[in-house]
Amino acid sequence: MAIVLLRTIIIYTTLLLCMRIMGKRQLGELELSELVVSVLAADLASLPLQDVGIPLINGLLAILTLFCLELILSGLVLRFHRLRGLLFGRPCFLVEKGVINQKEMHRNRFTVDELTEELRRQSVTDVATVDYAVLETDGTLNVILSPAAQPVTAGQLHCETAGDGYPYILISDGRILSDNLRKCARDESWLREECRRRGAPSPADVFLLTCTPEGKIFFAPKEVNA
Amino acid sequence: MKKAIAAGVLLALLFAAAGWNIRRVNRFTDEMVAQVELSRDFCREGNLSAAASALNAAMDRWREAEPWTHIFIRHGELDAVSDAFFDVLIQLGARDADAAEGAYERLEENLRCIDDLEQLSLGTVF
Repeated sequence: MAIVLLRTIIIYTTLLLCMRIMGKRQLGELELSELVVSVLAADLASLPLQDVGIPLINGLLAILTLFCLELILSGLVLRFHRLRGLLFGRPCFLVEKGVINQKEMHRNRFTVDELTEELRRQSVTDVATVDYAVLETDGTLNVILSPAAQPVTAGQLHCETAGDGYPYILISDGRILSDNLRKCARDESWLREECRRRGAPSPADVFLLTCTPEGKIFFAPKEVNA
Repeated sequence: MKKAIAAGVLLALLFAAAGWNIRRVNRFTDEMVAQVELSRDFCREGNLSAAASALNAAMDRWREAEPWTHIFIRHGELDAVSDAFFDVLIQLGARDADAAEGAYERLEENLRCIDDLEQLSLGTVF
């Protein structure tokens, strides 16, 4: 029992350190400790399932230990900011003020091809339009375009815009979602009336109906052959 | 932070339970080795029927503990001990004291092995 506990702690710490040294590229949108836990937990859970000769408690204990370590670590990271930088690294600028930071690229083992691929994924084809590209601690690349390349906003045009509010789903595949109806400050008789006005005899004939608190409605009737 | 503290407490409790488990395994295997040793003494004295009955008593104690041992100890090691018990009983039944001596040795070694593998050491952890 104690051996399982110690082994789990050793493997967890080792994996965490190795992955930390390997860098953000290995993460793929998971935080470092989350990735380590998901890599380990899946394997630990499967071992006692595959081999009935291994007591189930060995798998359960290891998973419980991982769970504790993850909670302790996230608690410590919240309290001690420096520890977060030490364990999970810091976001780094691959492009800063329009200039590619080759040193950071090299340090993170990020090739030019990978950078352009990431930019294309975000619909950016010209590196020259990028003001900042930030490699986050979870391995994602956030791109901030130069002001000249950014789309114009209503604010920049000094246009008055009114938000429509969040569209709540009121009917999903013929089923009325009463909670959302209440959030929208509407009732069922209003909903039935809206359905009838749009040619649906009852809510059962509606595939999707959404409504914002301001009353903007999206309506999709059920297809007969669907 | 409360969750982290609760997790720390849980981890500490798990370690305490692990420590208790190590002591329990140690006491249990010592008790089993002592019972087997008693049977072995009878065998050395040539009293094979007393040796068999002492060994049967030890085996009953071993079986009594199965609900616990099967949860905390690898089943392969438990099976090895059970096999070794039967080996000794077969030799005693055949009234072959020399062969029984070897089987006793294997049985005791298997019992000690369970304890050794639960003890914390560089060898068992790594």
